[in-house]
Amino acid sequence: MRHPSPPPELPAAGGEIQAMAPASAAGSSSTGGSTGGSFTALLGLPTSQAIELLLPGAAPAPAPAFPSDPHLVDRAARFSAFASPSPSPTPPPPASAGKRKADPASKGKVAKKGKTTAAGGEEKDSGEDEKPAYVHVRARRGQATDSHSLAERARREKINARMELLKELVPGCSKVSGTALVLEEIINHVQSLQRQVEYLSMRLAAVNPRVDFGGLDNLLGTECGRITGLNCKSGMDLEQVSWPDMGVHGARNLAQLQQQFWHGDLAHPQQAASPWEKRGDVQPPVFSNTSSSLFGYDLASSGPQQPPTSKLKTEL
Amino acid sequence: MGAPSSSTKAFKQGFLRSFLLSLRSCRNGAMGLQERKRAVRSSADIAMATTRGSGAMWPQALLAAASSSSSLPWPRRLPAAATVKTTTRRKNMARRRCLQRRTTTSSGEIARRLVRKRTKVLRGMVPGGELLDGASLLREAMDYVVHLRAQVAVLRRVSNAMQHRPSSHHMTVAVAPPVPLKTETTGKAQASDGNQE
Repeated sequence: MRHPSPPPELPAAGGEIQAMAPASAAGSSSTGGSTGGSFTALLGLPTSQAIELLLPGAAPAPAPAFPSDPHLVDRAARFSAFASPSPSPTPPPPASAGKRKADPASKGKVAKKGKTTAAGGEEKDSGEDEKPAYVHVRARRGQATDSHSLAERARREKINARMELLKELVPGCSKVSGTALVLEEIINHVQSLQRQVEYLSMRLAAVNPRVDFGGLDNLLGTECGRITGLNCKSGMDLEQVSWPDMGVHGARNLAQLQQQFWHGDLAHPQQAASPWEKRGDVQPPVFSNTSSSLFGYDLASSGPQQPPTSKLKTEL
Repeated sequence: MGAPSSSTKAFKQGFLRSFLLSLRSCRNGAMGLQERKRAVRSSADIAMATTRGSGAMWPQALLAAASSSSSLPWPRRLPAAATVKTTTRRKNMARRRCLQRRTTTSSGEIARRLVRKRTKVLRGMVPGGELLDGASLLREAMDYVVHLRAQVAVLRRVSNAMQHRPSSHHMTVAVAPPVPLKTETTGKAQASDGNQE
């Protein structure tokens, strides 16, 4: 995972953060993989490392000129219990409000934890700054202000946000409350979808005596026309090209033809057609960056506040 | 379900194209039904994975699993290790039960155990899920569900079209494909009806 570079105000701490970030990312991913199903993987090793690294690094850091400083001091003074307010507002340098996606999450949590420990119990980290790199969680009144619990709360909130999205996605889940039951519904749904795929592929195999679907010339034209709403005739023009004995190269040519025909709106590479022609050596196809993903919005930012209609808009 | 977005249609287009392409390039030996079904299924999965692109983790895992189905499976935990782990845990719990008769399992613990068990199941179902941590697993599952739905819809329409068509080859274009008789409100039906005017 890549991490945005920290601003030049705290080069030392930023360098340490950056040095630790790959380690934390690798550590979190490895621990997440090894502990079967543990959600606390993110709070593994990097925590201690972070604190060790950041404690000496953050202390001599000068208080940079953040635009939200008085705001921060305000809230910090109201809630936390430290003596001198002046060194306290050392929020993490690339601060930003709101949550971000999972990629900088581990790095952000780590840095935030280190800073809070260094500042001695400060828990308010809601700065509005330029670099959107860190996850910031607002500690509510009366809740634990430990750095660990902060990070845990951040992670829990992220997971809860995703659970909300999933609940909207899976039919019949909106009335169920509780993570376990929702997960069960999701599992059932995925299982049913996969079984449907099996069943449909069995039907397709049964309908056709041959797999390569000799009678699909018209099918391709009409189906594509119906699906995309384009003119059926233009779909048929392609199919006049001789289909039946097409080898690897023929398939590639056809792919290029089709790509031109569809005006290249689907940006995925069609040269990937060749790798899955049942050869022994299948190199992983080149994935395009502009994927035809069905999520047109940032998952984290939308969150549960979005009305269900707009979320369901991206559904089928 | 709401109206489909253009990206859904785009995905279905791409998927259909890749699917049919891969089916054509299958080796057309004399296959039994099971082999044919497996070929159809794997080409559908591969088409879905390649059309999805690089926005998620599961396509890579799906492709890796599909390509190396005969050889060593893609990095997942060895089954031996998993078996050992569960035995140890069960032994520990049995030991604890013997020693402390009065352990009251709170509802939170039960919930946590259930969640953990189900997360494990979900990891097994979503391709590439074994390497993900909780939050990204949920995101991957979401993405996977959406695209799986699109795949099912396309497959269903193709299969319907194949069935309602007589098995001769060169049919005229004028044969109007039947209106999809599925009760499932797929975006395709609405979109095509809206576009064809």
